[in-house]
Amino acid sequence: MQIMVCLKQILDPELPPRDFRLEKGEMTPAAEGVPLVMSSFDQNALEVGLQLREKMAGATVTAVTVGPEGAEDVLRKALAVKADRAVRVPLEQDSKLSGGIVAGLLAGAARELGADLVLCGRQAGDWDGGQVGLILAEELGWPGANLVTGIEPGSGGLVLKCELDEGYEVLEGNAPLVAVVTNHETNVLRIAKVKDTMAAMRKKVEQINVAPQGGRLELASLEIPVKEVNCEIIPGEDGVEKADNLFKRLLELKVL
Amino acid sequence: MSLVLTCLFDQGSLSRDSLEALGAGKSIAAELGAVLAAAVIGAETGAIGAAAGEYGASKIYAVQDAALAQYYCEGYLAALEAVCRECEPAVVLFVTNAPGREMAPRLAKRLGRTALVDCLSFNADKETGSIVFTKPVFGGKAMAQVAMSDAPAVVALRRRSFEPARPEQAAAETIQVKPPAIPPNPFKLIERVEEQTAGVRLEDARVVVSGGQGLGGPENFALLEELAGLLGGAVGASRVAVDSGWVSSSKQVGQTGKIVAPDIYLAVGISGACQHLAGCSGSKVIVAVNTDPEAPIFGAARLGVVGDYKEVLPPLIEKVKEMA
Repeated sequence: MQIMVCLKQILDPELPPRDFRLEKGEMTPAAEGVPLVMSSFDQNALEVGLQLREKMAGATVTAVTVGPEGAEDVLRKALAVKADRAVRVPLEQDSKLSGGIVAGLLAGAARELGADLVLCGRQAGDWDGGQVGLILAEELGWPGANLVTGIEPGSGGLVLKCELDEGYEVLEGNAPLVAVVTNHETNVLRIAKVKDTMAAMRKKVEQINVAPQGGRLELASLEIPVKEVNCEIIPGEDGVEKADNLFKRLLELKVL
Repeated sequence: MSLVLTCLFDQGSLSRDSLEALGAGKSIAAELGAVLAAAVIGAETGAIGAAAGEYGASKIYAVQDAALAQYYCEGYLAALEAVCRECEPAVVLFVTNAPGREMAPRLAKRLGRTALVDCLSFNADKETGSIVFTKPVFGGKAMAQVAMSDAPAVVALRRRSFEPARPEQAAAETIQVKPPAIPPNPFKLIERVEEQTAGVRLEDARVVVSGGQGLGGPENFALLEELAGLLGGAVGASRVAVDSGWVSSSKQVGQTGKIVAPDIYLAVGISGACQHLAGCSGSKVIVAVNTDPEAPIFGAARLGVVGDYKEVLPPLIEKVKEMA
């Protein structure tokens, strides 16, 4: 089984709102001084892929990213947790609202690699588009499973656990397929060993070139919302007093 | 006359999500001078079609087939694609729930478009027929306005962001649509576990008591359960609490979890990451309880208690008991 995991490099979403700025005169966030990280749901997808490989003899995990050369950092991170191969599909354009273009490039890479199972995170932590994996299923003409938290080999194919709005379901399907992964306690990405991180620096990153196709959505404006909340700190010497005062305020605000 | 098509996946009766889609669809149609239509899919679509008509849709596109008795992506996609080819809508509306999330991007791709997911509001221009939708990006740190000028605009609306439609007296015309083929479900259902929530559903609760990293472990959620229970509310959680395995992921509040808008949102030991606030910012009063006065949650809260929840919650619970 050839498992392909799609990874995106993004501005660190943990950046506090007070430090989040937009590039002057441009509809894009200021990137200077902001760390770049692997998008969090992609980390979950990578972990799902690694766990599946451990249960299937002969399975391989190939980490793929779309982006400029600097995006190879996320591939090194994947190699450090023992992905077998790392591939970058070059794209120099900005990633804003480009889910359709990126899905096309990833589909090209999946075909070239002969992937049987493609794993994607449910949405990137920057533009929050939430559609690359789903468009990818369409591009490849493969079945797509959404909000997957884990995959196991089964007697008749792959067994996927998927989140529902209330609860979950277990599905069985045959490769090739696309699985769009969401976070769960069982798929938090493992931590790389220091020696593996060092070794990953020396490993080869392959390149697959695919011609970008399709359009992106048209961004009309990007704004940081102004928050008008002034927090009223509840006074009190101890917990009991604070609880009393909080209770009073909630009654006054007529929400209790 | 152009059409605004709302895609409904309910069987039997309309869910709150569908009512919100119809409500949003009605206002978009009014702005554009368009007709509100609904797509209904199932083995038997009569009742749901009639309900959609009662709630404002004046055209009902029905795809009725025994194979479509239960929702599955591939089959319902084929049905919706056939409806869109038949009626050529200007706008196609979904709700960002589990089916809407997967259908919107895939249907858009089939129609040669890119969908926009998780929209909060819209602005329509009647002259040009173009609509600008607003959606949160960067985990809610910024708002993007996206111009959808090519028809059809395929959009999934964030739950609890639009007023549900109200019943009205109107006659709807029903058009039966036959897809050229209905593909079988490529997945076999092994098991479906519907989570039974004791008490109120998180999204419908008037009071939500949420816990985060500051709780330090699953056992401390008992205090939150007790308070929520006394207030007829529900317990929520931050992503950290879910990823740590302390509570089930159906309790996760945030950009990618449940979107809640209660009267009181009590955030206990939650630092207030943007992606979490995106799920509760519609609450009337956010109350933060945190030992760290610098925690970002205080920037979003109306009321703040700086202190240890273990010292504040028990007397608060006593107060609530006295009231009852």
